[in-house]
Amino acid sequence: MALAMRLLLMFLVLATLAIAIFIAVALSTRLPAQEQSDVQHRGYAIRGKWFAAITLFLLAGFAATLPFFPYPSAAAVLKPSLRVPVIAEQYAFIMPSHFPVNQRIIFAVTSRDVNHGFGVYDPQGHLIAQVQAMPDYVNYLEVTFRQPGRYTIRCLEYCGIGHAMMEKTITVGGSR
Amino acid sequence: MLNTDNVGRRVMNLYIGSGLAITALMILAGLMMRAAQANWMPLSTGSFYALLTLHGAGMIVALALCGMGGLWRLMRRHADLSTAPAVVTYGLTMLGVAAVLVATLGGGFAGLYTFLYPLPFHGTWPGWATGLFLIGILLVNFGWMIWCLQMLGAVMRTYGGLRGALAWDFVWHPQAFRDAGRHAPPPEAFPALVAGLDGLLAGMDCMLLGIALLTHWIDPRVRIDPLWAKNLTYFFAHTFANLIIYMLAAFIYVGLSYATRRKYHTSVVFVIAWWSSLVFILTNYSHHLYMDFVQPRPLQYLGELSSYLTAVPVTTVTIFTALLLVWRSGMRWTLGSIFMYSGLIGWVVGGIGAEIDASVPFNLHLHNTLWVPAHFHTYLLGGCLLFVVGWVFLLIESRSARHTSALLRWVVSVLTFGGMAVFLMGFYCGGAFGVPRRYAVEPPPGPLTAKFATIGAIVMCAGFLIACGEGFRLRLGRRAIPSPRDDGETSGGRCVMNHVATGRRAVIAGGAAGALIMFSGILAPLLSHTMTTISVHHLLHAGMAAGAGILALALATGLKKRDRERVGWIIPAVLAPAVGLLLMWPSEYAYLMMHPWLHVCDHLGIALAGFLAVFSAQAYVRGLGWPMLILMVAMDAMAAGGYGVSPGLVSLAPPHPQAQVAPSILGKKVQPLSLLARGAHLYLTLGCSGCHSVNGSRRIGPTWKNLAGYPQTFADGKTRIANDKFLKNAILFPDRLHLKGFPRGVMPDTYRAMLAGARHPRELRLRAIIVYINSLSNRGSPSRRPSPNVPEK
Repeated sequence: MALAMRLLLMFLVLATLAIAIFIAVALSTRLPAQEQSDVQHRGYAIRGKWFAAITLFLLAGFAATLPFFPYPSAAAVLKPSLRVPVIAEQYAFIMPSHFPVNQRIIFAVTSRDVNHGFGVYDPQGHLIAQVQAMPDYVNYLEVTFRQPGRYTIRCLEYCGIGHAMMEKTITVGGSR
Repeated sequence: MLNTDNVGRRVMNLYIGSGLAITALMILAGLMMRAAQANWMPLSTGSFYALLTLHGAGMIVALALCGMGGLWRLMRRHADLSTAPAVVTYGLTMLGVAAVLVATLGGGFAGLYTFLYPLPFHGTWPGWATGLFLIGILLVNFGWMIWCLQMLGAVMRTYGGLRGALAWDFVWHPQAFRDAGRHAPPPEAFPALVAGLDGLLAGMDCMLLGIALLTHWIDPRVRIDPLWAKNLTYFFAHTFANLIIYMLAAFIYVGLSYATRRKYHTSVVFVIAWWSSLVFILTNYSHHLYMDFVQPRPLQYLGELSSYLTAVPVTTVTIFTALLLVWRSGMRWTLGSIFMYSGLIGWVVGGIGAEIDASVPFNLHLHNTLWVPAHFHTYLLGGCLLFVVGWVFLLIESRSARHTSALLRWVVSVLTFGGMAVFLMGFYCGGAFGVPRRYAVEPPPGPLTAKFATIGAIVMCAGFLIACGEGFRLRLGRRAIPSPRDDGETSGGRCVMNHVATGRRAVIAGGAAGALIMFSGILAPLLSHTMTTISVHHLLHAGMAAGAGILALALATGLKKRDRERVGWIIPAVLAPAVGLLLMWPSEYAYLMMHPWLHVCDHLGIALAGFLAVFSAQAYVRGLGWPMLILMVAMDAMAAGGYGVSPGLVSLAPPHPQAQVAPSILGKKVQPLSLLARGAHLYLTLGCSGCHSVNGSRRIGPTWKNLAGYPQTFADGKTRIANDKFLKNAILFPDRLHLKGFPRGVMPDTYRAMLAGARHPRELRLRAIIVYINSLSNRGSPSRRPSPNVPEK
């Protein structure tokens, strides 16, 4: 399953859990009413545990995501790789259109006019990587195409009324 | 539910009434866009994006208005808030809304509500529309800053300065605090404080950005750093939008405790939670720039950490305590309490979506897909709007003799929340499938999810409409106004501020130092004529403003009591920083360098503006001058980052390893644009898109999808294949052919002069359009359908 699909699943599970808690609390209003002080006494004990649990969970999440940050390090940019310049402009990508399979590619992405996005969609239509194309700046995106086929590059930052038409098909692998 | 404060009620009704009216219109605009994406409604690309711009700006302002009006009313029970600033804020906001309306619907401005530099200046819309939109945003921002100043001033005056409003002593010296007979501020004072303080920061940021863009609009020589502008844009936009839900938390504190007949207390945990929110609201914005890899790395880490931790105070305190209020309270489920309680769910669920997106590795797959509108619609529509609607219902119900039947409550709930869930899931699923946001025409499965979303939105609107009708019915059954009584809430430990006599010596020394700094700054141009960089210049101005501000603080201590605390002081406090920024017009420096005396005058103006801003703030509420001083100096210093300063590709900081690669891009001969791309561009810029769709939907003229290569029927019944010659004739001589089913003489014949004739010997642009039309058809002539990969010479 694609990562984004797994994220959707994770979202649905968490959202359902949250909604279930809210519904349970809502249903409790049918039970005989209790004094606020009694509720608070027990509630604050749960709150302390919740605070510890959510804080630890989020901090652990932060630590767990750190190794997966996509920003290429200085050393990574200088390692041998195929360096490909990409210039985005309203409403086209100026870049080569054929790429090898299983080779480390570093896209050096910039823009000639406004902010654009550089989103890479694999042959199945999954968004596998992206970076912003900014005027005056160069962003480096590291991609290794693992499967041959037709990939689509789409603009992922609103760039004017032709935004939705700004795409380019590239081929990966096979003979030129 | 509330005491009978007629003025406060009128102001709140004005704000919330206008806010809800604008919201209703913007929901309609949103519905139209979703229907267009579902291919159920014709909407030209230009109109789509103009509408999107209006929808975004309008929605944020509308919901903010509701929060501002409600919080103002709630705080008026505890603090002295005069009506004039509230009316001025309302007037400025409405003027701004009108300007945005004219710029988008009249001028076709489609630079989006984020107006991300340099897009507003690279559009197909006229220049005046860009200017008007920016002016509109600045007007709204002036109104917002006035509101923030009044609110911040009110809590500071009521609870004993910033320290008192923050409940500092309540947390750290509880015994002494109680012994002094003081009480902590009521819960709703914390949203007011945080909105005032963070809101002022966001307002200053917007002022700097807005004026930088406005000067660029008037004088394109003023360069702007795109990364700097992006940071400022998202800092302002995120903070402002985020503050809406924090302002509306006040509705929960008051509304839910009313509905559950329980009390919501200010506790130490509660105060600390708001302190952390005060910080997190400001540091979260950088998660909008995850995909800008040139953004300084520490900001990316901070963005994720802060976005994660922001969930802690919200869930642990506001949401958890709200659940505790409801738990076994025997609360009656009226429409008001149902809406308000459901708003909490929207906040949490939207937050879960936001946290997933705020994880950098996931953001790589979700950024700027439909996931983004999915999560913010969840907490703006399913959170903020429900809080406001719930609040309005609780107010109406508290004074109505009528009740809503159980059946109607069920009908409204099922339609509203069911429709909303379907509508939102359209966004979430689209996002998971990688469908980009802000696409007038979405790649699959976008149109399919849009169909579900449109149906969901219509059902939801039906629910809201029924609720609206029920609201009017309840309102008509209003009981006589109850006798004036306070609703039992104490005015929250109102304490007179300690007017500690500041040491006279300290005042004199501070004033003298401030004057020294200020005057040396003013006179600096006379001593040195060498041109420093614009950035250094801005920093010098910031230093000068700091001196002027310190002097102002010292002089304001001598102000007579009767001249203090007049609301009129708010106006110069808000306007003076803007004047100072205008006097820092970067492209004029070269000229000023040649004319030292003029330069001195300019510096004098900047110093005066700084002085006036701090003096007015300090005069309005003692202690408010300090935040104003810090904010203004920070704003002037921030200007050094990008106001009139642009890095240029080659000047990327050399120590950066990426810099060495940059020239290889510059050195590379740029390939010419393919005919296809040029055709697509011309389709949009020459106005073709107004009448011809490219997705098969019907507009005034025939769609370009599957046009080329297919037989076309004329009005007289003859048919011809639409080959290149046919297309060329159709474009150049539209009056010579009349297609069946389409009106005659609608297409202008001006394209002949624009695309062919002596001035266009190679007819490149005409060929580009024909190539583009062919590319849209599965029978397009092969010679004219080059692979998009091969650029044509």
